Amino acid sequence: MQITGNYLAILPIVILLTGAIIGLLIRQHRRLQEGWSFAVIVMAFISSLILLSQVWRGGQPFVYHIGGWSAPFGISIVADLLSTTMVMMSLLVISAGILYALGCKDIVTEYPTFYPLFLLLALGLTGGLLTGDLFNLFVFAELMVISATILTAISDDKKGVEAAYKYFYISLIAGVFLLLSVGALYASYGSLNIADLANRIQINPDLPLLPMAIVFLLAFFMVKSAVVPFHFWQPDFHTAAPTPVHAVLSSVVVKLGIYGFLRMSTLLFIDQMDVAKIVLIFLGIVGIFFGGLGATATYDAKRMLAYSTLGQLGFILVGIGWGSSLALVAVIVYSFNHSLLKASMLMLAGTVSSRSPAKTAAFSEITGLGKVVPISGILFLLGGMGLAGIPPMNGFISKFFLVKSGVEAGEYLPLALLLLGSIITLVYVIRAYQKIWWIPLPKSVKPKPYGDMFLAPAILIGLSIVLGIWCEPLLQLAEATVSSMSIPTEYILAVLGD
Amino acid sequence: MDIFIALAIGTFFGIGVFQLLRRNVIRSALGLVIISYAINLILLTAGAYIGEVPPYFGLVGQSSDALPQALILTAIVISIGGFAMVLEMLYILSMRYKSSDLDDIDKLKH
Amino acid sequence: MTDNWLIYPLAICMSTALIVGLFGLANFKRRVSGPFLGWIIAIAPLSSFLILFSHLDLISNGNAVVWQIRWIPTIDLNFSLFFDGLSALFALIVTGIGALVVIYAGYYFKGNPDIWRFMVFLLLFMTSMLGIVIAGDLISLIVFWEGTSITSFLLIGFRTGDEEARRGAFKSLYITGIGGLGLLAGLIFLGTIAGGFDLATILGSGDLFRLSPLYPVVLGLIAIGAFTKSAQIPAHVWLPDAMNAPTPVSAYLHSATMVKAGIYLMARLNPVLGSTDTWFWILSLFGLVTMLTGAYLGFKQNDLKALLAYSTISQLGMLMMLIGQGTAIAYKALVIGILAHALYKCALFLIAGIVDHETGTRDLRRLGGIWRLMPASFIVAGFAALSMAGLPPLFGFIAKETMLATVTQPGLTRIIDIVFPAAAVLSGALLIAQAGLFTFDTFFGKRRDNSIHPHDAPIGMLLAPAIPAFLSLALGILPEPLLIATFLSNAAQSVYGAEVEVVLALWAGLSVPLFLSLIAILVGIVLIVRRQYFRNIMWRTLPNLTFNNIYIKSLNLIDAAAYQVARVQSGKLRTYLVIIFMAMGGLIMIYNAIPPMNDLITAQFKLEKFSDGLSFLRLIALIFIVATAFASVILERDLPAIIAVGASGLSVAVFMMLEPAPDIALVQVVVDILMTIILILLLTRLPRLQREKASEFTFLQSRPSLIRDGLIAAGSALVVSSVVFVMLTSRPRESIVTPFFEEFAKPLTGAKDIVGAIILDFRALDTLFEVTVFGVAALGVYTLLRYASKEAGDIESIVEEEIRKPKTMGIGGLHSSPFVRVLAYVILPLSLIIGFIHLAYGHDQPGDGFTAGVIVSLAIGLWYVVFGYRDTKRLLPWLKSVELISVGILLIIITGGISAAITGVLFAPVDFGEMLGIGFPKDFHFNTGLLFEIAIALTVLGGASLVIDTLGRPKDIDPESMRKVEEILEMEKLGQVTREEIPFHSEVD
Repeated sequence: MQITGNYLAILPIVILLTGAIIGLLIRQHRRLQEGWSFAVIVMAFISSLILLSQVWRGGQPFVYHIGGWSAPFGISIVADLLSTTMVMMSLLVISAGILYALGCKDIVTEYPTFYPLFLLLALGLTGGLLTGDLFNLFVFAELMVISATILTAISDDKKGVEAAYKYFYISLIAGVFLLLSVGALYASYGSLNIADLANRIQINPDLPLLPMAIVFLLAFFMVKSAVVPFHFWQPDFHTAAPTPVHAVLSSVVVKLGIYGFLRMSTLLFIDQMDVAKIVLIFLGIVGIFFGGLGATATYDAKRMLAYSTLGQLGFILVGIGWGSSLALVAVIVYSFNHSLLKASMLMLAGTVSSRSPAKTAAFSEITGLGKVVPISGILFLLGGMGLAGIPPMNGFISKFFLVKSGVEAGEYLPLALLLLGSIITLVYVIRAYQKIWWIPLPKSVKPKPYGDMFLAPAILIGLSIVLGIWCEPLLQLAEATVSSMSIPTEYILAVLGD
Repeated sequence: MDIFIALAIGTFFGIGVFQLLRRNVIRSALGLVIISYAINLILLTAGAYIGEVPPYFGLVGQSSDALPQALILTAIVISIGGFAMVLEMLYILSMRYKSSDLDDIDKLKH
Repeated sequence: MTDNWLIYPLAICMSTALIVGLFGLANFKRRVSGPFLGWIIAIAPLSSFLILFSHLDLISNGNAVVWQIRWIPTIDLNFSLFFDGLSALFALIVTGIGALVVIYAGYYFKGNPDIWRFMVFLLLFMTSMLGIVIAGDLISLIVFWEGTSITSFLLIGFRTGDEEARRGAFKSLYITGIGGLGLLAGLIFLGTIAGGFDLATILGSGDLFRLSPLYPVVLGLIAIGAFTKSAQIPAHVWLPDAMNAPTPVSAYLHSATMVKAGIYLMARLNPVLGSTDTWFWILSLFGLVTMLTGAYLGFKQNDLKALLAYSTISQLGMLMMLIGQGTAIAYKALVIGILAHALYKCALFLIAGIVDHETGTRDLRRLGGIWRLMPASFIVAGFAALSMAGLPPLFGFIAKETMLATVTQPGLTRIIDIVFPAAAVLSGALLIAQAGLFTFDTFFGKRRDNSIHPHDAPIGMLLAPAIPAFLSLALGILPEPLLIATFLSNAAQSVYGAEVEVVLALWAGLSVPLFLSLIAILVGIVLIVRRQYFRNIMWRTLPNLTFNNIYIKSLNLIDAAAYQVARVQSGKLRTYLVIIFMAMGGLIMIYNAIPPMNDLITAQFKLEKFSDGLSFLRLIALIFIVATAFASVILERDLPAIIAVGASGLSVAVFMMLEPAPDIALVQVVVDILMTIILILLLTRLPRLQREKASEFTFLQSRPSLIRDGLIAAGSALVVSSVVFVMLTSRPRESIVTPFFEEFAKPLTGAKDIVGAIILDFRALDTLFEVTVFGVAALGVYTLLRYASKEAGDIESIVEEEIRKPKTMGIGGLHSSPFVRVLAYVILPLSLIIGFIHLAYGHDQPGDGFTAGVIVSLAIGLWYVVFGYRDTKRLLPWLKSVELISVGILLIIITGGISAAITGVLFAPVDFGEMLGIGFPKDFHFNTGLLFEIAIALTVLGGASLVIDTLGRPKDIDPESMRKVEEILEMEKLGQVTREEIPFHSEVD
């Protein structure tokens, strides 16, 4: 592996950390800080793109051993196709989020620490995806959690603190789960490096503490990606967050758990996941209905979309549970598309709610307000179509692949429930669309003359349409990723050397 | 002997969980503290050796396992950081909701 | 790629839609008149029509034209088009009638700027509809299929202000959307069974499907799609409500084209799925019921468009039934029926639109006797209605004759032979009656409402209905229109899969069908003459066969379930935690992850195990830990409880000493103190009454909840104990990494302290982000209190607090004795020295940057207490917390960068002392480790002092709240408020 590869692997992390800290130092000059933060996130995104292309072309993971301590002794940053793809996706959406924040009218964006915290959130996510060390994952996850918590706690929404508080509490418990798992694994296999662990577990799978470790790790990731019944923090937390943050949280940050499940089932515990897969399918379907119905019942546009995330994650979980290579392709495509769609739809809801005098996304307040921002109406409808899996949006492609994999796997019952669940998606999306953009604006309401800019969501929606019509590149990426996941030894060898 | 130590640590953890579920926010916070302490102990017991001397270079005798201790250091620092956040949010909540009862902090529902 | 012409129609319609959309955004749009726009846009469908028409020769006797490009190569899926007889029939209807409707719409929306939006939607719909009928693979088919659903949603709800329109739009999208999902699944099944999605493959593998065990499933799923789209009972309920759409939409989507998509799909798949009993029964029965119900319900209506809608439903049922038959003549009847219905129904709708447009009503009870006022419309309507009634010499007559001929063929069983003809006759009669109703009550009779003064529509508007109406006449009376006949026989052939000979003769000789249709006509005439009588019976006595409540119920079900789900989100954090712990237990159960321990436990009770003195001390320490922790539970007041936890923290440190692990023991002590301090600070800030109220709960909680929590606690205790127990009993075991650390710590990093080496070198990244997290947490506290909480107006509550001690200077700051001051003066530099020592020798002994930072910040905390906020700020100008944090972290990065620059690896250890050959005192190393330590110390110092600073910041710094304080105090002086009214206290108890 050439040295540049090594450096590329850690480049996004370095860029984000340095950028965040410098952003903190120049906090007195707001304009400068805003510009700088956007530049930083874009740089990070570009670096991740380069990394992805290199890894893809090289066909082998890039590994960077911090301090030159070869695995398993030091901490290794491992950029294989899976993690790199997720990083690229995350940084793409987060760039859009920061772009939105630039044109956002919330007071929170004017606090001197807002953008640095946003970058640190991105950093935590990126690090968590890239790290090859279980305990280091804990550190990054905590960084992510704590910056997300602050960002929500300082939100314009007065209930932000409550939401943040609940989220933080539950996340601390999740951290406890992870540490217990780390302890059990270290006590059993004497190592923390994921590749090393995977190797040793395959050699010696029947140690007494292994099941416990699996369960705790599972629980940790379930909390991270809001799997029912570990999801309670999610609707509150996402709803109360400032719109740009919400868009990021509800689209990419929750994907950390998905990444974790993929890692567990294709690298760490390949032979021990059978039960877990059934559990994932079951919980996924529960989540589909839970999220869909919650979204139908709720009173607030942003909250509706937060609930809808639960449902969409449910679809992804079912795919992971099926676990066939086609299903995994579907999972990756689905995750990617959902990130784009959900982020953009949230931003669009934000553009509307920013016009409402009450500064809330409650349907009662924003009914008919869409008339003020008709363009975002078209975009929202497109996004909603994507969410419901209607062409020509990319959501159709992901749903198509998911159903196809289900058919080929012969999983008819989950498939049927899955289809039933997606009817609900249609219902709440269309209802919300009609409420906001079709019902005439009440005379009493005096919308604000200015609101958030919808450049960022427009870009994302455009991307979704392109990916819906010409999904070939994404599919090839997904296929390459899955094929690389199917040979764990590649990962292990890349990290441990031989 | 080990079994008593194990039971003791387990009980410590359990007390933490019990405290965590109190309605009084202070007690609940104490629960968090206890749990974080308990985790430190658990990680410590994950160490590989029965130590006689601290893990220093050049000391004779079986030293204790150094890695878990390093992990614990990190974990401690993180937990204290998070803890400051928790208390901060508790403070503001008690001002906004005029109550120190966890069950009164339920404006976000449905 | 020879047959590129096949893509042109799609391309033309699509691009026109986009162009119109772009112009629609421009502001000159008001200056373009509607009719002009209509005529211009009509060029698109017309040219498409001509393109397709000019290539009809290519598809004679069963040939098909295929065009395709690669779409998703990874699953070798092509986007392909397929043009054969059936496609041609539908495609020509779509484009031909499309052109007329566009022109019509131009007049219909005259002077209405929304016409641009309308045209865009209409053209998009046209594209998708055209796409459905010439789609060459299942995926493109479903894509276009959904396209029609969405566009029809937009068109039905076009008048967004109208409640009814919104509801109708939602309803149609909801029902057809469900169908779409079913269809998606069904087609994917098809593709998977056939091993390919393109139509040629599918049409080739008919037996594969019929023999497949999944056949019923596939058929069911696809039928759901087709039936919802083509408004078969009971999915038809969306169609009548869709009549809230502007009339051109009703005429185009809901009579001529979209509702026929289901028919097209079934006809298209007939060769491969058809000719089984399941197929026969499903299609025939649904079709039959739909045909009768539609005809029946239509006769009840008073609204012109509703009447037409139900008659459409009836016709769709008939067509669906015909597909089920599986005989050559059935498909002859099918194709003739499709064409005939498209022609007359479109004409009638457009006329209805004109009437509505001119008279302002569609209510049969208000219309009547207006044929003199609008004779042209009347004539057109008359022909169309005659065709609908199936009377000679119109095309509808031929259609009905063929249909009757089909149903009178000897069927499978006796019942069919009776039921089908009877049903056909009955519905025929009702159709005649409906046609009569339409014409007579609209145009004849006496004027019912004299406020209506209509006159004929402009010629262009009349052109649209006139053309199809006279076509149905021409097709009837022309002797053997050979072109059409072959055209139709091609269509029938691709449905039947074999030669079908079509003759379009009015006079087929004396036959059963003729006899049957005579009966139908007679009954029909009776129905028309006594229509009021019969319709009264229908309204009063007979059941109103509305299936709407199925739709309503399904939605209500969803909403009810949704309500229940929403209630689970109770907002009570404790409930959430309990559920999470329970779920955790469930997972452990499922995995049965509790490690097996029996033999281990028995092994435990051998005596020599107890002789180990160190672990006995450990046990003592643990007893202290548990006891103090338990005390924190039972102690009633909060302060003692906090102290108790602090004590248990110290005992934890003791336990760590015994491991032996001095480094973390030290940190544990420091952290324990810090945590206790923060807790007490919080305590001082929580109003006492609140806390007292809350602290009661601990003991007065309902017994069940206590038991529940107790059980959860016990369970988690058990799990943890088992884990710990297995860990302990497996000691000593081999660790993979530790030996490496022990061996190379000194030589490679120059650190005696292995833990320190791990922290600073082996796992540098952990440390970097650990301090980052610490710093971020501090920033959070800062941002939250300084900015967010002020924005959120927490000021008021702060003010209330201030009433108690308005003269506060932050934490403490009051009456501190000189002795304490001296102490403080001494302690700070002392702590700095201690801190530096920690830094300098952290590599070789307990203590590190973190400890150093915390110790110093504790000293600073003391200053806050002693000197108060302002003075501390004045005395310690160098204390800029945020800068400290950022500089610290930056320094870490730079350290990493330096070592990267020197060794080429981030965070590789470098000893600058050795490099530069500077002799430092023994055990002092000037290396990356040192820089790292310093950086950590700075960050931690910054973080901790930032927290203390924020917590200690007195409110009177903030003028706004101070003003409020003054006001309230003033009021108090005036006796407007008494102190008792303010239930806030702020001392520690």
